[in-house]
Amino acid sequence: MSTEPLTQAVLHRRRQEVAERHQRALGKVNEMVATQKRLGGELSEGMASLSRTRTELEATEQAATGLLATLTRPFTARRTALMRRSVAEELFKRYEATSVRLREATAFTDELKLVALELQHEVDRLHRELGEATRHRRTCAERVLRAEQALAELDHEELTPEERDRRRDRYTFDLRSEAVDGALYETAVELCRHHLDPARALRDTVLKLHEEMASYVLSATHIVNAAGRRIQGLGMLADAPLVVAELQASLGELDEAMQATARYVEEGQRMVAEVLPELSARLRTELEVTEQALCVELDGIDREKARLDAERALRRAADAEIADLLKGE
Amino acid sequence: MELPLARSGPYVRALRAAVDALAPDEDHVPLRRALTHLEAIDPATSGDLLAPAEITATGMPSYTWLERARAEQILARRTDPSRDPGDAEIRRAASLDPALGARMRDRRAVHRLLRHQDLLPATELAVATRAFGPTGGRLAVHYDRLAPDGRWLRLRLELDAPSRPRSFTIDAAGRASADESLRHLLTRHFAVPLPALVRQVADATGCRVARCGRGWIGPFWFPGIELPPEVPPDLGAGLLLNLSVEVVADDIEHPRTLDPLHPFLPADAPEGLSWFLSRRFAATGVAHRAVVGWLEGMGLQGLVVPFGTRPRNL
Repeated sequence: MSTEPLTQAVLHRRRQEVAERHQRALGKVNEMVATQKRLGGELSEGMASLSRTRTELEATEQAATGLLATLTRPFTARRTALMRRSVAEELFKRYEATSVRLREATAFTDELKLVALELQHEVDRLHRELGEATRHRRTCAERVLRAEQALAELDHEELTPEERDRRRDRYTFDLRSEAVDGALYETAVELCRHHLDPARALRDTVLKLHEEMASYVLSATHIVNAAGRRIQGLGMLADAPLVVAELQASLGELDEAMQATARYVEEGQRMVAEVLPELSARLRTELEVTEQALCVELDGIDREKARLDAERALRRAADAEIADLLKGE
Repeated sequence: MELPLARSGPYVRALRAAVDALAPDEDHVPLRRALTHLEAIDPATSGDLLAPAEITATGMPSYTWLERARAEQILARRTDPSRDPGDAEIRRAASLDPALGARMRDRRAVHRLLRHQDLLPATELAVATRAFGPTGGRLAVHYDRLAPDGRWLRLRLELDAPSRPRSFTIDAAGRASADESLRHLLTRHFAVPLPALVRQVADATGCRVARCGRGWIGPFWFPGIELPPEVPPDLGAGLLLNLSVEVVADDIEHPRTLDPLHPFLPADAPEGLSWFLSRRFAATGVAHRAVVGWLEGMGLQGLVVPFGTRPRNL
């Protein structure tokens, strides 16, 4: 920003760029909401399926060990052998489904982190641009006042009329040029300020999503790994009736992990469903405001206005410096 | 047992080289799948994306570790390759957070590897017809599994089937498929003695079992892994991978055992079938010398292949 001379066209372009970046970020967050919705749907489906698996296992177990089953076993042995389901197979299937969702959630956490980092980068950029625009605005203001002073002193100097006229033209031109530049930098400052809030809000939204997701993934990974170890350890005995209850405890652990996921997704969706529309609306309003601010009436800048603007800019700069000093203490 | 990240790479590469050196045949899980699975969990491919690296008491990778690669494969196959992050995107992410950039790069590498290559299944059943006609024929059945103790198992069955065997469907073109029920049956009975397994399969399917083989890859012995009591401790001083097979079949003319851990054949064999047992080893350094000496003491030769700790390039 610092090397490029600031013109209205440049300001307009920058505004467009910032707006586009914010729209892209919003789009990305919207995509993430869609991903969450899908994850949520799959999880509900997985939980329903898990619940069915448990019921079926219980029914299978009762059928295999009940009194009637014992009496009729010799007549139905062959049919039962093929009809009976393997507990281990069911566990593998359920575990695989949970494991896939967990890997997906892990990848999603990384996506959230990347978006959060990009948004922080955007906030940093706006701060940097704000700092530069403020500095330039102050320089312009100082120059305006210097030109103003020079103009005021011109009448008291002993000069030839031609020289006085030449200098007056020069100072007037300088004053007008610096006033226009100052106004542009003032607009740039406003532009940065207007965009900072939505950018921060977007960043905070994604950060919150990331923090919650990362924390969920960490605990779910722990639970799923533990369940996986138990499933592997019990696999050799998985189909012995005595261990079915223990295996069902493993299913319970998976169930717990999946319920935690569902809870998270539900909360995340609610948060995003409420926060995102508000953010979109805010972003739109801010863009409209900056658009209006950008239509600076350059022609309307007269000497008096330029002087007042310059004094105001310097006052603001001084206020900002004092505020910074106080903050430092 | 959890391996530190620094040790998991050398461990995986050593196991991969050992599996490759033994070149398992059709009695075992497919070599290509085994090598791909190990390549996927190798930190050289996946970084710490699939961590923690856990192994079982048999020295083989744990089910949970291998399962993470399978889960990534499912995700990889669901996603469009064009949506993989590009180099510039990864560089950009790395400039913002080096660890995140590394994870993105590793995830992309794993997805590119797994999108078109198969991995070892938790359980999988495949069936093919051999000379099947109107009155029946021969069915070849493979059941692969990551066994609960960490070893990799294949049950290989040759069945003489009637024209409409139970649990199988033969279409008009002669292609066979197996019902889920058979997979469930084999999952329940994969570890029972072979004669009992033969009976179960014969009863359930109505087929005559002409051959029933059970091939294992593993255990993988190295310092820190407990060896069976009948094995000299020196065998655990280096790296040593077991590859074994037990078979009962009707075409074995001279029943014998080439398995030093089972020097005697089981007494019972299903009617019309005979036993064959075999065990081979891939070993390095100290373990290689120790296992060769141990086998020579039992009059067994040619069952050991040496291996380097790096697999050949495939």
